[in-house]
Amino acid sequence: MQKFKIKKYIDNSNVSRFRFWIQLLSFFIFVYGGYFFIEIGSRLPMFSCPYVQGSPGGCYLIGVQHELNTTWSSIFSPRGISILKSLGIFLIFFLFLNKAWCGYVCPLGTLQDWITRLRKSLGFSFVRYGEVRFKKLKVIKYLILFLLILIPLAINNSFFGAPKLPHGMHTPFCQICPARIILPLFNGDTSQIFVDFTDRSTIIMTSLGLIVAAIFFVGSFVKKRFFCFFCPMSALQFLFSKIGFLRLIKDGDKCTRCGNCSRVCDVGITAIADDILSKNIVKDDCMMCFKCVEACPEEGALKVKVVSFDLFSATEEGFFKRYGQDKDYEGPKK
Amino acid sequence: MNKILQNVTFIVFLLFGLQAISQETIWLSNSPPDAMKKEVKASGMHRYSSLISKKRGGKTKGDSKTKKSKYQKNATDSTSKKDQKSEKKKGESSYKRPSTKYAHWLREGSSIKDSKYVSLADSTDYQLIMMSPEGKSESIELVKDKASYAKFELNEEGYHNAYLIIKKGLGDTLHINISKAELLSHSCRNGHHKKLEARPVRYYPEISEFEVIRQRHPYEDYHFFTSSGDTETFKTILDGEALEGVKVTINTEKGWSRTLMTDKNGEINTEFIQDYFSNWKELNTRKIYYYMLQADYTLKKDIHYNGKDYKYIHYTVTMSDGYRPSKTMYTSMFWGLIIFLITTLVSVIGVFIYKERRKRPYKEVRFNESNK
Amino acid sequence: MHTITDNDRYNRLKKTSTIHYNMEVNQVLAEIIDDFPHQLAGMEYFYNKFRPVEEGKSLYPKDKKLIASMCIHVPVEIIHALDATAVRICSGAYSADAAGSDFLPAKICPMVKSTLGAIYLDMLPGNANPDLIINPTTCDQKKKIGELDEEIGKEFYVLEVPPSKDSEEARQYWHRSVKKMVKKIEKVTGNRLTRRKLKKSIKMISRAQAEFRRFMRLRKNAPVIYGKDAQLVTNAYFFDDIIEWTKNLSILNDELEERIKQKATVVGPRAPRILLTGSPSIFPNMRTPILVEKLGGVVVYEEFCSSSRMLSDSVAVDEWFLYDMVPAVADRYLKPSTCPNFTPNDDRIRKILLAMKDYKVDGVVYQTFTGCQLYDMESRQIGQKLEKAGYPVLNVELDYNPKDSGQLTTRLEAFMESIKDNKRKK
Repeated sequence: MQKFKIKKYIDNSNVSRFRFWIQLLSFFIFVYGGYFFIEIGSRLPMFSCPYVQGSPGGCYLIGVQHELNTTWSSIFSPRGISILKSLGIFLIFFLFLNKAWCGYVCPLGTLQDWITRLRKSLGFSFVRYGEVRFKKLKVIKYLILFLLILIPLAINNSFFGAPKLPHGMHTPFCQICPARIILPLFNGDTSQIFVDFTDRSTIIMTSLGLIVAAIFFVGSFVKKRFFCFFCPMSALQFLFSKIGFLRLIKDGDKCTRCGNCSRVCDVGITAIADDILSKNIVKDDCMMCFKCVEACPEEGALKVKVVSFDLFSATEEGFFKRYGQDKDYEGPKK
Repeated sequence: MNKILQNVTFIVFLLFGLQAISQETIWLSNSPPDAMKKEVKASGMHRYSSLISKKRGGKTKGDSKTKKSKYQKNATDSTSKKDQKSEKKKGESSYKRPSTKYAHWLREGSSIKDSKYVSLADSTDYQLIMMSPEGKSESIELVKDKASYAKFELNEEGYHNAYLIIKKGLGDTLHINISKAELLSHSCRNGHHKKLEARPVRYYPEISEFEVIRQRHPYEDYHFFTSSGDTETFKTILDGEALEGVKVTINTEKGWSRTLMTDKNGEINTEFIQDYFSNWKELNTRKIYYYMLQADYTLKKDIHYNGKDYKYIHYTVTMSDGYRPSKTMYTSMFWGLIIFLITTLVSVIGVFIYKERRKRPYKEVRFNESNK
Repeated sequence: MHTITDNDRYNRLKKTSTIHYNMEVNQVLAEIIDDFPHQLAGMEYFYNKFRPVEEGKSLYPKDKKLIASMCIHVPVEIIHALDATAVRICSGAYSADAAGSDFLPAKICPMVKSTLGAIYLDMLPGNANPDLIINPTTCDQKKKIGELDEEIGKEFYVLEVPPSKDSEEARQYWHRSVKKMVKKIEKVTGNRLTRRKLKKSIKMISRAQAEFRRFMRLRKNAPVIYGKDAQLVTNAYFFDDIIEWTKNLSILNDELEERIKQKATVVGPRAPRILLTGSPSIFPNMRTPILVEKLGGVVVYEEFCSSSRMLSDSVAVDEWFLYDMVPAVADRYLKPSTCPNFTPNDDRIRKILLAMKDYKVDGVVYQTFTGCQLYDMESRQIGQKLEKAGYPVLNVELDYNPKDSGQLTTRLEAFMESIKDNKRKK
């Protein structure tokens, strides 16, 4: 009976509020944790940027760019095992929370959520991508991921006889990443706001970084989780998302396609509502915030599972507690 | 008559003193002699140069990243036979691959410009020691060549200290020349673990009684490299205690030098003046300008060495490092802010226009009106 | 010479129709209440709701405007948020059907004729006098009524509903349509739509839906309430005050929970559990459920727009501002809708199959009104899919004419017998 009560408590809970506090805690840990000698690891599956002084670890993407910044002969030698080893460490971190790293832990994601709160409190409306634009823009994150793997390799090796890229592009994604410029500001460090005039490539890359940071602010203000749509870490995570331990499962038979889930989705995924055949409903943009499960009024249509153990399901009771029932009414008990 | 005697004595002493001063000051330098330039890949950031090995892919953990060097074809294998055998590192597979050798060359002289590459005479009594960041002794050997150099490997991450101690008796003074080098082994690809751990600088009174160290900046990490315009603090230490009143001379590749006396904490603060002003097209941000630091101190102490008695010990400690052009030369926060603000403004206006346009009924389907 | 003016004709028609209507209502109520054992105390409120109202009296508050709707696709939350009363005037009265036939061809859906007649003769439930009638362009017959507004003498507002619900264009079209409707109602009522009022309205309707879901959950178990009673409950939602309705449904639910504990069912365990679907049974046209239950079965689920479809699917809002609330409300009325007026309508068969499983249904009775093309056309597909899944389906065609019951009874009887046989064999 105790287990049943706990499950009921979880199913009725307000996950969004819980998520707010976890995000706050994670932001504190990953932006200031280094000052308290917290050390977590250097192949983290989200933007725990090493340019931040107080960071307790490092983002995996900077590791990828450094490791691939070498010749083919090095990669295919036993030294290349270190690339696989760091991928392995990344996977060990990643598999536990699956894409919930994006929704609950990533400091850049938390920042975007705070900007969204600001927008809400000011009363501005948001922007949503239409279907056609959604499909077209989705491709960008894969392109960025591809480039961030390709460019360090092209600096050291010549592809099909083409000239090697200049050394100034050594960590191409870090140079354009808004986290590098924005997150250190929380440590009082403005040193990343600069244009590097060393050579042409650094001028372009650092300027691009500043442009991206400016667009980040404006975009996050009008669209919820603007940057997450273009994030290469999200694309990388999606490649392994099917084997994660934390899962989002949909039972298509119970779905009425009412669209509540895609309406509340920050990223704007319509497939949660429209796809009634897939079981694993985590798409490449999904950040596993579970707002969709909160908004679903059909019992058991969406479930959060840890492998096969039900953690949090959509229930009628939970839905009405969170959305519908208002204590103003002289309605009798539920 | 007395005056002449005085003058002569003075001159003799001067000569004597000059001779004492002009005793060979040997220091360990990172830059290779021209003859060896082709076999060496200088990596100024880490304060050592690596000898290019003929075998491919041979790098151990903790090494710098290398590019495929076009000098590789011409590399002469200057490694001795016994180094060809690889060593098993703990935790790694038993694949035998050659490890990287690094080198520092011996130079003699008190100014960088005039220092020559020397080779140590066979009769010279020397000690060559390398200490790891954990304080353990590591292997280092002196290769006697036309330009001798110390050859070593770096297997741990952190600052390693190399000491070349040459003792020479002259008159009643024992001259001890300690050439020190501080080497940093770090590679970003292995992650950044103890970035903010305030590691105290290591010094080893048991190896050398007199030593000079560069004080670390607060929150300094392994990516630090002196830039021109920075102020560095050096401290002299005798028998583990700070030593006041030591004359420290710093002279740079560019030609300027400075002499300071240590204060009661044994420290001197010296600013590396901004002396690199180049047209930004010719700017080379990777160019490292070397400096050499020399500290002299004479101690009145009775010591017995090599069968002789000496009344004085004259210590000379040398350390060489470099500085880079400062970031202010080639980065601009002003331009950065301008770009940021302009982009923000343009995007805000863009979003506003988009929202206004959406209020009108849209006519998004467009047809091709050409007659065909 | 006493010439018979139009006005005279109208008054006479109204008088006779009213008498017939009252007779009809009383007769059906008598059948529902008296012909069955097992009276539920909670149903008293709902029975009384349907008793004919005295002429001149109205069930609705006089200080509010009354907006009538002809379909479940009209977003009721918005009407309530603008301080107006919402009444759904779809009519099941045969007496009004005759009147409506004057304006429409013979082979038209009787519900549409009846509704038109009721509007014309002011015989709307609770003596409603609508200030505006919202006519959504859903089924063909309903669509065309709007053109008769001058003849009927009432103001119709055409709410444009897209014929498909899957495409992005349809959704955008529907959002704009709803926004236009909001503007129209604002003009009629003279109020402005505000955040607070719409939020309150959404929550009020959500509350009602929660209570209804509880009601349906209770019907999943042993049958403690007849389908005829359940349909009266949902039919009362058309015109009742929502808060009162919710309160009384809650009381009824409590009583049902008691009965479940005491195992006081209304039929035996072997009674065939029937699912009704198709053209909606609206009071007083309750022949099908009454007949099914008189023949020993029990209706456990109705997939009608007068029943479960009206009260399922709740609104979820992300940001409680009008720019999100109004589209959220609009979406709720479009996306999960299983009305056959949308094409394709796969959601309906999925819903029915899910209900078959959840409510342990034995057989389906699919009723179509004469002239209702949409339900008629879907009956074939749905019938095939249900039969493939192994469930028996009975297709019946109905009219509002009460004298048509003979054939219906025979067919239902045969159907129920075959189900009972199958159950016994199992």
